[in-house]
Amino acid sequence: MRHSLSMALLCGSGILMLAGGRPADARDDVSANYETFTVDAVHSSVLFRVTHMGVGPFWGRFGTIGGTVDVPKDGDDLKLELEVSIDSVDTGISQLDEHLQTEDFFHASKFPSATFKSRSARKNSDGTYRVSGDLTIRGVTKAVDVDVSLAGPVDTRRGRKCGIETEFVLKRAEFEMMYGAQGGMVGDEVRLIVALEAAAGQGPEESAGGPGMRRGGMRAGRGMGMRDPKKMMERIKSMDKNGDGKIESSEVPEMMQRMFKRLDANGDGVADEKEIEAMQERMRGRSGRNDQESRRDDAPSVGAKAPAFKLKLLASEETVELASFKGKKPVVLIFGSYT
Amino acid sequence: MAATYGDAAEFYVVYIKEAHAADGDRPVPIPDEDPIYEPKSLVERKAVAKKCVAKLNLEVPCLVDGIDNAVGEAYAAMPDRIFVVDMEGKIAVRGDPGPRGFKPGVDETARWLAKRFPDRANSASVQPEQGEG
Repeated sequence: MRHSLSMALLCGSGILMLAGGRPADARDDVSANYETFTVDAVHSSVLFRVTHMGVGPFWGRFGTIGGTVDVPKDGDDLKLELEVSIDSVDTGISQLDEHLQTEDFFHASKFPSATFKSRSARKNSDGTYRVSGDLTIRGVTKAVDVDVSLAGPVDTRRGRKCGIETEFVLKRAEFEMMYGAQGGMVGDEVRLIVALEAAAGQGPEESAGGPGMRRGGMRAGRGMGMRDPKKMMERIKSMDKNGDGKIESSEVPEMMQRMFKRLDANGDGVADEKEIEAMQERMRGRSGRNDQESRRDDAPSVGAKAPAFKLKLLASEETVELASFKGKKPVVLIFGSYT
Repeated sequence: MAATYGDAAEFYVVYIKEAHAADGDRPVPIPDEDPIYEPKSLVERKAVAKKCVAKLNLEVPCLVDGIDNAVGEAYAAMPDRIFVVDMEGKIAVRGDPGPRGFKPGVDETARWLAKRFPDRANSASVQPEQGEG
């Protein structure tokens, strides 16, 4: 930062005027000396590898990353500000994905994202950037130095883009994530590969993901990117393979089963038009309009079939099935929570 | 209500997603309690439900929604609300969601039960309009 500032001062106002073509950026400290790129979550991933049972190389991935890359026009001061959504983890094993959210690992309910914020950078002899910054995982911040490869920026058919790749190793214990390390079930060392594509300025819809933009509301949908209602509806509609307006659970791949269960309100294994409609309403309600008027009530109406369920009793582990009372007794259901 | 109609109808509390989890959009702390975070597993939710049942002295049996919140969502139950399912498995009473809608839902439930089981209603110490759970 100091380097480019002194350059600007030396050359006087001339440089600032020349560079002034870019539209103003929201952040004050980023002057016209940087080109800002927004991470495109669709084309970015963070891969991780741990050793399982002392010998097995186990890979997993996080699919949702947001943030910005500031490429200096002059100088080596590459800046990165990145945020990874913990609930976007995808190991291909849904139970493992859920376990990783818990306190045993990421404690995602308390720490929904991991972040990296660079503090300084310089260029290495091979053209990569040595970037120093703060890595925060599970609420713990550690200073790290990583070697980052920058590809581009280049002008493409779809606008100006750049690519960022870095690979480094961290120790889970440093971030208070000890589960499994003792006894060697899950190794302490994690190899990470961060692979990002970023688009100039405010990128295409899918890359809108600066730090802090994921707050509030869309915590659901592990790994299925439920933050964008339009995308979600497209994904849902694409599940209907035979185009009959209904989605059978057999049409839905393993990865989408969790989303399917949310669609299939009455639990009969088929998401029909009404249920899809209801989901659409819910999505519309979530996309920002919080006023009372637009909030539709998706609850089953009087006279409609009550959604079936099988739930466990708190006190005894016995399962209670709603259908078991049909023809016998009416059932009063009081829904609520402690908070 | 449960005491009056307990043998005529099944009463269940269905414990669902936290309305005001400490890590949610609208955290509301409970006095004298540690912050309650949104449970990420069924085991965690059961622990919170147990606290709730104990603190509020709930005598109605409690069912716990799966961590996928499927049942709560199927009934659009957030933050709290009451339903009555009749003997044909259809919705008979659909209370409005709380906080404003909860009590009227309870009253409506009481009236519905009183109509269906008038003999029990007459022997009740609590009249339908008060609608106690």
